[in-house]
Amino acid sequence: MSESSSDLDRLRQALNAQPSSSANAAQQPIRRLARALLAENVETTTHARVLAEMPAMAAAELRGDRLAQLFPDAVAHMDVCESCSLEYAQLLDMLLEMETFVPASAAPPALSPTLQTALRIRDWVMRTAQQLLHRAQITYGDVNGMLDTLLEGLSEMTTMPAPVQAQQWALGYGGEDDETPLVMATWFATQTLATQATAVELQSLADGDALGERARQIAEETARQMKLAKPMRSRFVEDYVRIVLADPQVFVALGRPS
Amino acid sequence: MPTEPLDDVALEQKIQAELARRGWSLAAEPSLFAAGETFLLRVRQRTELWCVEKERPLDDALIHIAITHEYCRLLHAAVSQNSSRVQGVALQETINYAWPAALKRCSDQRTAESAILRAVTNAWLHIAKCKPGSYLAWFTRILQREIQQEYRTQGRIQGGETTEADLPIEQDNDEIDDDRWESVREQMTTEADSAHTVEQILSRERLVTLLKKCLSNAKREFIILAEFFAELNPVEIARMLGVKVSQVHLNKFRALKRIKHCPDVLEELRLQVS
Repeated sequence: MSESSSDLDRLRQALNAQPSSSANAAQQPIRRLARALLAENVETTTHARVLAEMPAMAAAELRGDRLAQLFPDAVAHMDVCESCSLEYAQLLDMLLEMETFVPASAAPPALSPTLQTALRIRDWVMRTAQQLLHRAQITYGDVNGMLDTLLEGLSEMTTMPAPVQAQQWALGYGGEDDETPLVMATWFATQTLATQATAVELQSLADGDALGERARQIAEETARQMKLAKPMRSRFVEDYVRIVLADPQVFVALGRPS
Repeated sequence: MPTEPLDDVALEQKIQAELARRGWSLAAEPSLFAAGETFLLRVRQRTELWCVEKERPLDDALIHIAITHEYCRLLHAAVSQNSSRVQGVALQETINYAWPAALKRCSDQRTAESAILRAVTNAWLHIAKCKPGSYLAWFTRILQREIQQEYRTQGRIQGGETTEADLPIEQDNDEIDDDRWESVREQMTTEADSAHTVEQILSRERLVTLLKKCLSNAKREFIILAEFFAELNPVEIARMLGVKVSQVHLNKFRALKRIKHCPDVLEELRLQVS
């Protein structure tokens, strides 16, 4: 059975002859079916936009809202785009399964220790990295965005990265600049401290005036492992320790819960 | 739509039962509420709003979706907070919610764990892109992509990717019972408001007859009429037919391909859009 191209062409001409705005309510479903057959609208709304709208569409659909009224462009796109439509159907199937909530055969995994540490230290690292960059008079951009890039590989970040790995990350972010190594060194030094010690242990170091020394050891070790250039290395260590000691209680709270 | 006043005790019981069933605990987290505000109050306000906006009666289904919606907002607020403790609770509950579906779609536990832990990290990093009321759907979409990524890199997903080969073989012309047809016809009548002319109603009947002849398959005919003419959502159609939404999708596209080869339907459509 061959596709009836001349019939489709005539349908297209008829559809284009009358703008949608002048069609009455009774004609709208007919026009939607016609557009679906003609693969109209697939260009006007991009796949990326529809894919980004899918969570809101799925949530609305599960609430019983009318998709065609709330998301007319996305619905028109999915009438002709099989891949987006299948993606959306699979998302809905997953959500429907979750609504019924049948317990799994295995217990769910716990948050990884790396992510738990990251939750505790991220804001402190961001503020500290900005201060370090400012003190080192390095022009810096979006430190938050840089951390996002770094943290997307969080599941693999269980140990300090090898220098070559750090270099790859820096290149991935935008090149071999001074900014990236400093941000990464701040992250890994803090991660090491916050993973090794509990908040109680950090408090006892602070009480015994030993917190600065501990921070210095870790910062030096991190800078060495990451092969920071010499002038930057000593400046990083000194400034890092100074910031830790400027508000030790905030730093103590980054330690592991007991 | 007028609604009966909500009984706070009964509503609280329903909320507690649902939270316990899900293992959700953030409704008791004080840092997520303003002074004097409670989860009960939020759900109550939400149901009252939706009763009016959606013109729906206050029933268990509405209460259920209001609880889920408000809990999504709580999870979103918790993940966006600066408190690692509250963030940790919210992310763990997110994992617990999606874990059975992740495990079902991956060939082994390790792969499922890897996908869900990456998904939860991405959810934390990109929470600013999420609309609060659709948090769980948004997370599920991230998880879906992570599972697909596993599939692409390792090729070992069991059920995450639905292809035609995965779906049960259907009879050529599955029967649809009268009740289901009746609900679609009713919805089509509702959609066709009183402003429609007799000619338009007759034209639609003519088109429906031609579609039936063209498709020769009750299920596909049902899907096309339900989706395009009754404007039902895919989930509603899937529920009415007792199939997965993915099957509705596949049947819809098979039907559209067939209609493209039916000159009578195309001609009738041309006349009706002119």
